[in-house]
Amino acid sequence: MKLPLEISPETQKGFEFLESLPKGSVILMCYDYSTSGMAEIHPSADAMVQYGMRRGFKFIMISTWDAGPQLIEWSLQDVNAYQKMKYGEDFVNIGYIPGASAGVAAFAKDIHAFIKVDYYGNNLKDLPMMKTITSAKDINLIFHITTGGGFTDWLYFVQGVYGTPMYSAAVASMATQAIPYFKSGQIVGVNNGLRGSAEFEMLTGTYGFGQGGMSSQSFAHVWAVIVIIIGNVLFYMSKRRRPGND
Amino acid sequence: MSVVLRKYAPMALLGFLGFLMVASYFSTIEILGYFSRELQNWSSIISAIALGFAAFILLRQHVPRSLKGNIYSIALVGSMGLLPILYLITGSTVSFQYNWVYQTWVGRLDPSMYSLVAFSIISGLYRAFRVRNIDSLLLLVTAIILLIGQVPVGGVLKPVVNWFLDVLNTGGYRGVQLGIGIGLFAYALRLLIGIERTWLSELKGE
Repeated sequence: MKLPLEISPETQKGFEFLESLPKGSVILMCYDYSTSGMAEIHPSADAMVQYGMRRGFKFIMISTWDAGPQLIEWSLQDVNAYQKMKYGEDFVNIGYIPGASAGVAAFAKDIHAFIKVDYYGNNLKDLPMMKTITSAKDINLIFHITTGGGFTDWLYFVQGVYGTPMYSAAVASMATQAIPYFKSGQIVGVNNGLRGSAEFEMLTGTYGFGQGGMSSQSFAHVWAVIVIIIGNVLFYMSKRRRPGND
Repeated sequence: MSVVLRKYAPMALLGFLGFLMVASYFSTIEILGYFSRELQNWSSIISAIALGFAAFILLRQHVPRSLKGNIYSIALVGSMGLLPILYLITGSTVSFQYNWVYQTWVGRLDPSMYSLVAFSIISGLYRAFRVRNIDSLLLLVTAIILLIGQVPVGGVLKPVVNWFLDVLNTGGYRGVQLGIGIGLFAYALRLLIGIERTWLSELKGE
């Protein structure tokens, strides 16, 4: 059931930034989440790759979570990336990088000194796309998909040091931490949970679980409000029956 | 082991390496940049070893229990071993079999478990948002506005939600982050100059 959806300013501004990127821009897709949070933010990842394929962007897939590489594979299969793009020229999957903030900082400083092979065992320097990408300075956007972890790592050690633009697709509880950075201009856009994914899908012209899940989320939120109201009504009814016993 | 090796040597090493990293950030001296890159690379290697070590510790706990017949330990050890065994058989983590097990088992069970949290949240909401005073009334009204405003049915409340996120949330979060930042800076300085010693093991006679 499609419900009318107003686009949030943080998603709109983020999409406008994406529209300003030229063909051939290098997007670093950071899959810093696990399957528990994928219902909210995996649609953003799929929509970004689909949009990027249409625009001619190049992708580097990476994760600082150990569950990330499998989600990268899942996302690539969702969008038929192997059929629509050429591996090594249009996209590269680096997989998991250990070390959290230290790993992120080392990666951003010198990619080839830190990572020798990609996720499939290919020598990174042999991949055509990676010949000209050596550090964060050669990346045009970090598209960070997260349930919470890694956000400050990429923000402090990459965006803050090298000025690389960063877009955050985060679960709703995490997006409240990302929005202050959007207001200060450190992040170019925020996809706020499932609603943000749905808005992003609308803007990029894709239809996936983001928009499909909005009706379920609407029902769940309305039900939560009804439960709160019922709780308060019952609380006051019990107070009136037992005056003085608060 | 002497006190020098157990106490003063680690503190000196921490201080030296810490100030080296700080200096490399602010300077353009090539040798400092080289050392900081190497230290970061080694830090990642140690993290990877810690990950493997954590798996070893977990197995060391649960394999004896599973041999005694504990079904939860059996399930844990079995599920920990399934994907590595699949990798050894197929030779790849992108094989059809590996991806099928991950997507149909892990990819369904993990979100299902996480979704159960929704039921405990709903039962918590029933109790947590009872109006007892003006503060709890403000909390209740804010929660209802945010819950309804974030979904399509509450479109008319979206400008109010945007104001909550842009003004109240941003202001409060920035205050908290400033405090955390100052606290972290003070803690890091205490570590580097040797005032903070809780990370060292206790020495006899101290």
